[in-house]
Amino acid sequence: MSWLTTVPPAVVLLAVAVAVAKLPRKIGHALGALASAGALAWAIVVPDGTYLTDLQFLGFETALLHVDDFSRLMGLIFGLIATVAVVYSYYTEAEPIQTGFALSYVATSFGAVFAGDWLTLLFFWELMAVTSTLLVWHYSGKAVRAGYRYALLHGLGGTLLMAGILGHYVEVGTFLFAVAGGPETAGITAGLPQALAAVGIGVNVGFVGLHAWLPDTYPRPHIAASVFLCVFTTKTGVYGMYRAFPNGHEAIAYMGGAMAVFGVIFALLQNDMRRLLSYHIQSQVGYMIAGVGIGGALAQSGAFAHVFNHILYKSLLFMTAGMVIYRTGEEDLKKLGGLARKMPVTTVAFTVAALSIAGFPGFNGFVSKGIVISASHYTFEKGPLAFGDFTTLEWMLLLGGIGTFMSFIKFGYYAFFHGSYDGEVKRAGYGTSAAMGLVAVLCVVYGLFDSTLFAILPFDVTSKAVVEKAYTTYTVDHLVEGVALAVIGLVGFFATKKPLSKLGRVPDVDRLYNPLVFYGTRAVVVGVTELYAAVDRVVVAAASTTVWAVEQPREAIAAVGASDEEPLSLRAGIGTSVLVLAVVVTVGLVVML
Amino acid sequence: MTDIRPLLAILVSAVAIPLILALRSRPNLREGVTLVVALAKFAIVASLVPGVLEGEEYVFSFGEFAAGIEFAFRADALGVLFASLASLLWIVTSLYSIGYMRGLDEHAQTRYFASFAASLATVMGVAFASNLLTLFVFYELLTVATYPLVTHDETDEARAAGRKYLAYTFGGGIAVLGGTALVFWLTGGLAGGTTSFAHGGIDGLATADPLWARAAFVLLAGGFGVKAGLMPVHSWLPDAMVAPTPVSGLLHAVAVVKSGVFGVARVVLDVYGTDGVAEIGMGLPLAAIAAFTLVAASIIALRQDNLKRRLAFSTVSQLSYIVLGLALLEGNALIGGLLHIPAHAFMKLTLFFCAGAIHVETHTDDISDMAGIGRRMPLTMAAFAVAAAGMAGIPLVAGFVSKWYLVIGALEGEYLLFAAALLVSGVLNIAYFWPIVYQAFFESPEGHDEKPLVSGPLGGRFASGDDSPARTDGGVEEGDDTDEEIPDPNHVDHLGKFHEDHEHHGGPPEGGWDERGWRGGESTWFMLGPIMATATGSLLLGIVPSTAVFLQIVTRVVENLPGVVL
Repeated sequence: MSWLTTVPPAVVLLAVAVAVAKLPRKIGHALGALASAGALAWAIVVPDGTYLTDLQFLGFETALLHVDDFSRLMGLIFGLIATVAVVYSYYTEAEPIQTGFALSYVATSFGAVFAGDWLTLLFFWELMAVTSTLLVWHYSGKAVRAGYRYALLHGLGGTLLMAGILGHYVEVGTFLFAVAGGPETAGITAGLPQALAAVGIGVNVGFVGLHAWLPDTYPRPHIAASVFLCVFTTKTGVYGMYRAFPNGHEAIAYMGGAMAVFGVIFALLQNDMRRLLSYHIQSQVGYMIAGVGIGGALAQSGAFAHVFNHILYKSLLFMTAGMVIYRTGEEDLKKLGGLARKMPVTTVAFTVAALSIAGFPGFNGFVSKGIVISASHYTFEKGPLAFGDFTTLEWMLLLGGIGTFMSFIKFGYYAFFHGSYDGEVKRAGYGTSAAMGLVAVLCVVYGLFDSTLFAILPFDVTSKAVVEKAYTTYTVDHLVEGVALAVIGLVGFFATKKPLSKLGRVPDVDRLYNPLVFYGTRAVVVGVTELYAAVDRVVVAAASTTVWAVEQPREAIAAVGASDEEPLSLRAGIGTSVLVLAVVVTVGLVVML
Repeated sequence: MTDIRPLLAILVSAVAIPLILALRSRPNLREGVTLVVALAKFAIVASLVPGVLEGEEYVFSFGEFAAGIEFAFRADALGVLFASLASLLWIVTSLYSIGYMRGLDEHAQTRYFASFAASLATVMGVAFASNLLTLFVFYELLTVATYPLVTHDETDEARAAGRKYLAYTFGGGIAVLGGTALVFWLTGGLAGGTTSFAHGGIDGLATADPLWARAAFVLLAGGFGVKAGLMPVHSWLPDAMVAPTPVSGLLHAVAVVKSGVFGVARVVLDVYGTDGVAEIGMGLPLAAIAAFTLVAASIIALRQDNLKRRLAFSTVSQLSYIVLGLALLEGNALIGGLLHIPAHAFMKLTLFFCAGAIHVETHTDDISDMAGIGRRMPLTMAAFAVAAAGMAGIPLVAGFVSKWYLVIGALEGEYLLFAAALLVSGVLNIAYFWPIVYQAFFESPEGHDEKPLVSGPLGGRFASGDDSPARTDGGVEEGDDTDEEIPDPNHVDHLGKFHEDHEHHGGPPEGGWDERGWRGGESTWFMLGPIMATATGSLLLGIVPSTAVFLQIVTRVVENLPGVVL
C-alpha cells in the first residue's frame, strides 16, 4: 500500500498532462480520462496520514502529501470531475494542447489540496494560476487580454497569501499544518498574517470587490476549458480558507453572505450564458465561505458538502451552456429560445442542474445548502438584521436562494422553454450526453440518498454527539422552505422579467478599477521615465561640460569670466590627484605582477 | 591552507589570451581553446567546492609589498560562490558566442574571445581577492577588459556607451579606492592597518570613529554600487546594451554587475560585518536605496519597447534584491540575497540568450515586432517564458526560492515596507514579462495589442467591444529625445552595422512567421543548447536548490558569519 504515497498525485498528473499535449487526440484524451479516473481511485483508497515529510523541500520542513477527510473529499470530486471534463473536451473538439493545459491545471490543484504545509500549498497555488492562465490564453482572441488581467489579479492574490503565510512562519517557525505535525494552534496566526491571507485567498474565491475576474475570464475560452476553470481555482480557495481559518471568523461568514447576494444580483442582470454562470460561482462559493466562516463541525461539513455538490452541478451547467454554444453558435440568451424541442437531453440536464443549484428538494444542492443554512441558524450569532426566526446571515443566504431560482428560471426560460430558435442546431454525439447524464444522475442520487453524501463529509452531521445540532434533510420545515423559495423565485422572475430585459450592461467594479489601474500605471510609468531621462540629461551634460573644461581650460576659464592673463598653475585639485595616483598604483601593480 | 588553485583559476584564462590572439586565422581552434580553458577554469573552481563546504579556505599570497599593500587571494565560500557561477556560465556563453558571432558573421571575433578570456580572469581575481586592495585592482581590470566588448561594434553610439561605461565605473572605482584607503587608515594605518577580509568584520573598524567609518562605508558601497546598478548611478547599464548579446548576458547580467554586488557583499559581511553595519546605522539607508531601485526600475521597464533595454532595467531591479537582502542583515535575508546571485544569473542569462537568438534569426529587437514569434522560435520563447516566470517569483523556478528567503528575512526584521516592495515587484514583473510571452504564442502579427501595453489603449485592440480587425502595430516607442548626430543607444543593437539606417527593422516577414516546430529547426544548437541549459539550471535551482549545490554554498557563507543567527 505504501506505493500509493511515494509520489504525490500532482507529479503523475503533470507527466500525463505533458503526454496528452503531444499524443494524437484520441489516445491523449483517453489517457487523460484514465489518469483522472486513476486519481479518483487513488483518493478513495489512499490511507489517512502525513507523508513525504523529510524532503527538506527548498530547505524547509514540509509535508508534500497529507491525507485527511477534508483533502480526501477534494481529491474525490476533483478526480471525478476531471474525468468527466476530459471526456467532454474530446467530444467538443478540444485540441490536445488545450486538454494538456487543463490537466496540468488539475495536477497543480491536486498538489495544492493534498499539501500538508503552507509552502507546498502556495507552491501549487501559484502554479494553478499559471496553468489556468495558459488554459485561458490558448483560445486566443479576446481571451488573451482577459487572461493577462486574470494573471495580474491572481498574482496579486498569491502575493498577499504569500505575505500572510510568511508572516505566520515568522511567528510560529514552521510551515506545517497543525494536523500535519505543526504548531498547536491550527490556521494562520491571527492579526495581520491572517488578514492578508484572507484577502489573498479572497481573490481566488471571489470576495465582493475581488470577484470581477470571474465574469471577465470564464466566458472567454473554449467551452470545455470553462468547465475545467469553474471547478478548481475557486474550490481550492475554499479549502485554503478552511485551512487558514479552521475555527471560522465572523467577518468571513458575513462576506460569504454578501457574496451569495451580490453574485445572484449580478447574475440576474446578465444575458451572456457563461457570464451568468460565472457570477453564480461567486454566489454559491459564498455559501461555502459562509460555512467556513461560521466554523464548527456542522458548518464546515456543510461548506465541504457544498463544495462537492457545487462542483457537480456547476460543471453540469457549464456543460449544458457549452452544448448550446457548440450547437447553435450563440452565447447570448436574447438570441436563443425554445431549444427544449431540438436539444432534449441538454434541456433535461440543465433542468436537473438548475434545480440542484437552486436547492429544490430532491436534488443535492438542497442537502448541502440546508446544512449551511441550518448552521447559520443554530450555531451563529443573530447579527444586526435578524427578523423573525432567522439570523442576519440566514437572511442573506435565503435571499441568495431566491435570486438563484430567479436567475435560473430566467436562463431556462429564455434558452429552452420560451419562444423558438430558428437557427441551425448542429448535431452532437453521444459522448457529451453521457458525460452530462452521469453528472445529472449524481446530482439526483446525492439529493435523494443524502447518506451517501454524509459518508464522505469530515463530520457526521446526523449525530448529536458530533455536531451542535443534528441535521436531518427531509423535515417538513426544510421542505416548506425549499418550495417556498422556489415559488417566490418564480413569482419574482415573472414580475421583474420586463424591466430586466430592458436593462443594458450593468457595470461591475472592474469598470472602476481597470481604468484606474491602467491610467494610474501609465501616469506613474511616464512620470518616472521622464524624470529618469531628465536626470540622465543633466548628468550627461554635467559630465561633458567637465570634460570640455578639462580639455580646454582657457575657454572654460573665459566662459566663467575670470581673467586668463596670469599663467595657469600646475596645482591640481584633489580629484585629479587621486586619479593620477590611482593610475600610477594600478600601473605599478600590473608591472609587478 | 595555502593552495595555488585560486591563482591558477585566474591564470588559466589569462594565459589563453595570447594563444587566442595567435590563432586569429584558425577560428575553430581558437574557439576550441576558449572552451577548453573555460572547462579547465570551472574544474579548478569546482574542485574547491567540497573543501569550502566543510569550512576550509584556500589562501595564496604574493606577500606584502609595503605596509598594508598585500596582494593575496583567498577562496572562501563567498568567493567560491561567485567564481563557480561565473566560470560555469562562461562555458555555456562561449558555446553561445560561437553560434551568435558566426550567425551574424561578426568582425573582430578574435579580439572578442580574447577580451572574454581576460574578463573572466579578472572576475576570478575579484572573487578570490582576500583584501580590499586586491579586489580594487581586479575590479578596475575588469572594467578595462570589458571595454572592448562593450564597444565591439565600433559605431558612434557604441563608443558613446563605452565612454559612459568607463566614466561611471572608473568613478565608482575611485570611490572604492578612497574607501579602501580610509579603511586602512581607520584600522591603524601604517601601524598595523589592514584591509583584509575577516568574517564578521575587520576588528579595527569596530572601534573606529563612527563618522569616518560611515564615510568609508558610503565610499565603498557607493563605488561598488555603480556596478551593482543602484539608482541613481545605474544608467550605464541600459546604454551598455549596444554590446553583442552574449556580452550583455554574461558580463552585464552575470559578471560585471555581480562583481558589483559581490563587492557590496564583501563590504557588508567581511569588512564591516553585519553587527558593524548595524552599529554605524548604514543598513537602513542602503536597504532604502535598494528598495527604491527595485520598484523604480520595474516601473521604467514597463515602458521599454526594445527587448534588451527592458531586460536591462529588469537587471537593475533584480540586482537590488541582492543588495536589499545584504542590507537587511538578517540570516534569512542574507541567504535570500546571496542565493539570488546564482538564481538571477541563470534566469537573466536565459532571457538574454533568447533575445540574442531572436536577433540573429530574425533581426528583431523590439517587443512590438514580436507578436506571434512563438511560431518561429518555440523553444526559445518557451525558455523565455520559464525564465520570465522565475523573475516574477513563480514557483518551480529559481527566483521563487530566493524571494521566499528574502521576504522571510524582511518580515523577521519587521521591515514590512521592504517586504511589500519585494512583493509589489513580483507583480510588476508579471506585468512587463507576460505580454512578451503571451503575444509570442497566443497572438499573431495580424492580431495583437499594441506594445508596450501602457502606450496602447485601455483593454487592448478589442476595447471597443466589437470584433473589428486588429490594428497592426505601427507604434513607435515614445522614447527619449535622440541626439541627431549620435543616436541615443536605446533603440539599437548593432545599429549601422549592416547599413541599416534609423528606420525600423525586424519584425515578421510578409505572410507572417513561418513555423519551425519544436525540434530545434528554429536556430543553431550552438545557441539553443545554452538556452536550454540555463533554463534547466533555473528550474533545478528552483526545485532542488540544495542538491544543485548553490544553496549549500550560500548557507555555508552565512554560517561562517559570527553573530548571524539562522
